[in-house]
Amino acid sequence: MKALAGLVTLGFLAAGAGPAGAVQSVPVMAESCALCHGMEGRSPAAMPSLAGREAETLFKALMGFYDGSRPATVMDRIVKGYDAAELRDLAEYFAHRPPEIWP
Amino acid sequence: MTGYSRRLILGGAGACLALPTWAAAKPRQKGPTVVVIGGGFGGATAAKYLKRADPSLRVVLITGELTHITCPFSNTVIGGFASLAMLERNYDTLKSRWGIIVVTGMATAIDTAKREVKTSGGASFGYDRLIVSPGIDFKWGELEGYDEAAAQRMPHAWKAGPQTTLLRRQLEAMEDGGLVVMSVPGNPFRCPPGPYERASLIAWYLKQAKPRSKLMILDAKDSFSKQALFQEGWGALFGDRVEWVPAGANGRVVRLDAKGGWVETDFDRFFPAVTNIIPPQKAGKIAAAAGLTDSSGFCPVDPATFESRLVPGIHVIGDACIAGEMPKSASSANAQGKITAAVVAAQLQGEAAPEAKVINICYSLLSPDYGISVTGVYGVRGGIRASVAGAGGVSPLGADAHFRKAEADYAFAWYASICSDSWA
Repeated sequence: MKALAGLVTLGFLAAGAGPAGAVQSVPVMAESCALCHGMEGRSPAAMPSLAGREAETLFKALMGFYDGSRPATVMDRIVKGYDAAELRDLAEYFAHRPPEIWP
Repeated sequence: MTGYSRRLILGGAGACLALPTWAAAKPRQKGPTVVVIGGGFGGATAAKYLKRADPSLRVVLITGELTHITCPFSNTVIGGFASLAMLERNYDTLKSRWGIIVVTGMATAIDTAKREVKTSGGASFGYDRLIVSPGIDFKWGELEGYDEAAAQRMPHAWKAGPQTTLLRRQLEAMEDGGLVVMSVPGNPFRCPPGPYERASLIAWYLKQAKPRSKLMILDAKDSFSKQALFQEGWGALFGDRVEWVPAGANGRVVRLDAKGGWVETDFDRFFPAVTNIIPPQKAGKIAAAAGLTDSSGFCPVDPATFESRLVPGIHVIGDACIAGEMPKSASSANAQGKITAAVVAAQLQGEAAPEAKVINICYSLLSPDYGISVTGVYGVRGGIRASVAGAGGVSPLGADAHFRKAEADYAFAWYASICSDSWA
């Protein structure tokens, strides 16, 4: 729990500039993914988990959704809300989440 | 953490007696107090993510319900392939894992000068910051003849619970060949695709159990969410069993008589066997009582922080707020809960509020094996929460059965995930 306390601060360190020029907090941006992929990318159900997977694997999948080379139902529509730098930041973020649920 | 005085969150001895479990609350909560009103998707998520951002916060969640029954997936109960019990969410994990203090009671007043929330139990809860997520209430009487008594004969089922069961029982009791009528209000209302998902799942039930019955949607609008996708699916799955009557074809219901069993548009009077009235809506009661609503009945907010534009220091999230282009949905409420939690936690630590784009996704089922979706990514642009250009949109038209089945499966997975993300 203690490590989580600094998340908001970390957001500013690991931030990229959004399309509108606003500084986007990567951890807060990543929280939106939890809606389907589970908190910190640990899925409780049938959605794929993201936590602890190779950053490069995740980034390639996201870029594949972006250019249409990877089959998708909704991810092709969602990734287009982010630029490549943001997608890389998100891939890095989830790669560094522990994959275990509540160790 | 400096600059915020400690406040007792107990209003009096009465509150203690009513809430003996408080003795078990985590003792190490030394930070400021954030009160969250409302235990639905918005409030539960905000409370949980506040503790995740800063475990030293005292987070008090005030909810009128012992368990929350989700509106998402309640149409599957009406369609007859899920039970209401599957939609019940409790607050046990928010208490035990996250150390959130859960108070059962209706928030009845907010004293902004004293920074206190009063509840129906007579207790007062002081706060440093307040997040209000009260959901919706109905504008009873705006549709002539429709009040709470009428809803016992012509259910709204737009808050899940006994009303959901009532509508399901009426459909089951209906004779084959009976006409089902749904009345849908003008914008804005909770869950824009919800009425049309409901129409689909009722039609799905009728097709199997009452093959001679039809469903008519009387609409106060001329277009609706995911319209082309719904109409494509209705044609494929239900033939002419579903009829949608837009406002321009006199679809708007103008009055009804629940005892007499009829609903009326400007031109026709119908005597349905089962009538589902989705009434016009406004923000949950406490929002108006606290001066958070404008003339629309909903709450204008800053698009970055979800702080009220009318009452500083209070954030409004979920269906009650006016969130620009974000729809009134469970996914939106969940997303708004997270960003507001991050904003409030940062501000209480004396830091600048973080900004983040957020995602909404709404799945709709046309049958247990046929799903469609609409999604969007929303950032702050032009003073509102606006869709990021080029992102989002609806499922493709003309997709094959495999694609629709995949989206139906994802709809079920989404439900499991968002409930876990919000309450566990």
